[in-house]
Amino acid sequence: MKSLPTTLALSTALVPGLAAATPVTFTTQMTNYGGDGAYVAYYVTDAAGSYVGSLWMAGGKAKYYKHLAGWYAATGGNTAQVDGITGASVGAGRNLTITLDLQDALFDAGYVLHVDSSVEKMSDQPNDVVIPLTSANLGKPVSGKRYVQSVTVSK
Amino acid sequence: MKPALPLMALAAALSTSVFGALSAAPITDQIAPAPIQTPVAETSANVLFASMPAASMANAATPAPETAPETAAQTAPTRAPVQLADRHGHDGWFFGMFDDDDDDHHRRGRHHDDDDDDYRCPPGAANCAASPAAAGTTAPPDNGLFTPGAKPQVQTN
Repeated sequence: MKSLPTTLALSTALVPGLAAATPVTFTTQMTNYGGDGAYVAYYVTDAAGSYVGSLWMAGGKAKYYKHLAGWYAATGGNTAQVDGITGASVGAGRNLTITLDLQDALFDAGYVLHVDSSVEKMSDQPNDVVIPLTSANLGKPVSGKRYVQSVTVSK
Repeated sequence: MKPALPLMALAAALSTSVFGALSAAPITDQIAPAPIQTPVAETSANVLFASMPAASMANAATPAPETAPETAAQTAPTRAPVQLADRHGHDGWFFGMFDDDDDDHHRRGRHHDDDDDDYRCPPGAANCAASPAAAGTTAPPDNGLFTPGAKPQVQTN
């Protein structure tokens, strides 16, 4: 049993970088697309394009998640991926601000933020916004393709 | 001039009677019935919406008769029914541009409003039927992105 505290202390000392975290704010401005509330999925892929994890899901009904094609393909629609990070869908013209405590290692390491969107009775828009998570992109609004007018990542 | 007045009155009466009789004559036999539309496949919801007249909304909810297509065309002269390739609508027929069943989810890339439907997970999907836990009710997933224990803050304006 003596080895357990030693192991914990050693592992904590070895990974200080991973433990560092900063509040990161994602500000999303929706376009006036003239429809119902949009479902919007925020998720991260690594430099190889592989799914790493989800950051936020706007919209609580799992049966609509298949319309968020990129997120759904990456997760198989597994709702456990968005447990605790799910909120209401976002209306046309509205502004959504999400603040998350994220690991510092997420930036400048090849990770990419993807934003998929979909609106009832309207077509789906995978990768409405794609933002490389770099220090250079912080604070700069990145334009969306359809339902999302822009997303700004800031610390 | 006096003898001419009765003659004129008689001529006027005769011409009126003949003209009225001709006007009242049935002419339906001279007109061929409208041809029945050939059944076509449903192509695109956008195409259907684009040409959708507002008045046909009422027709969309009207059940199609179970009679032969010729009878249906005669009883609904404003819009002939079109048979859909995938049997949408009532008995495979619909009037106007809308079908009124709840299987819009078969259309690729579109949301649907079938809140009362039983949702079935696609083959191979994992844990897709359960709704996720709302933010604030449980910790974010342990995916290596979040600081353990931190709860997200969200605001909509």
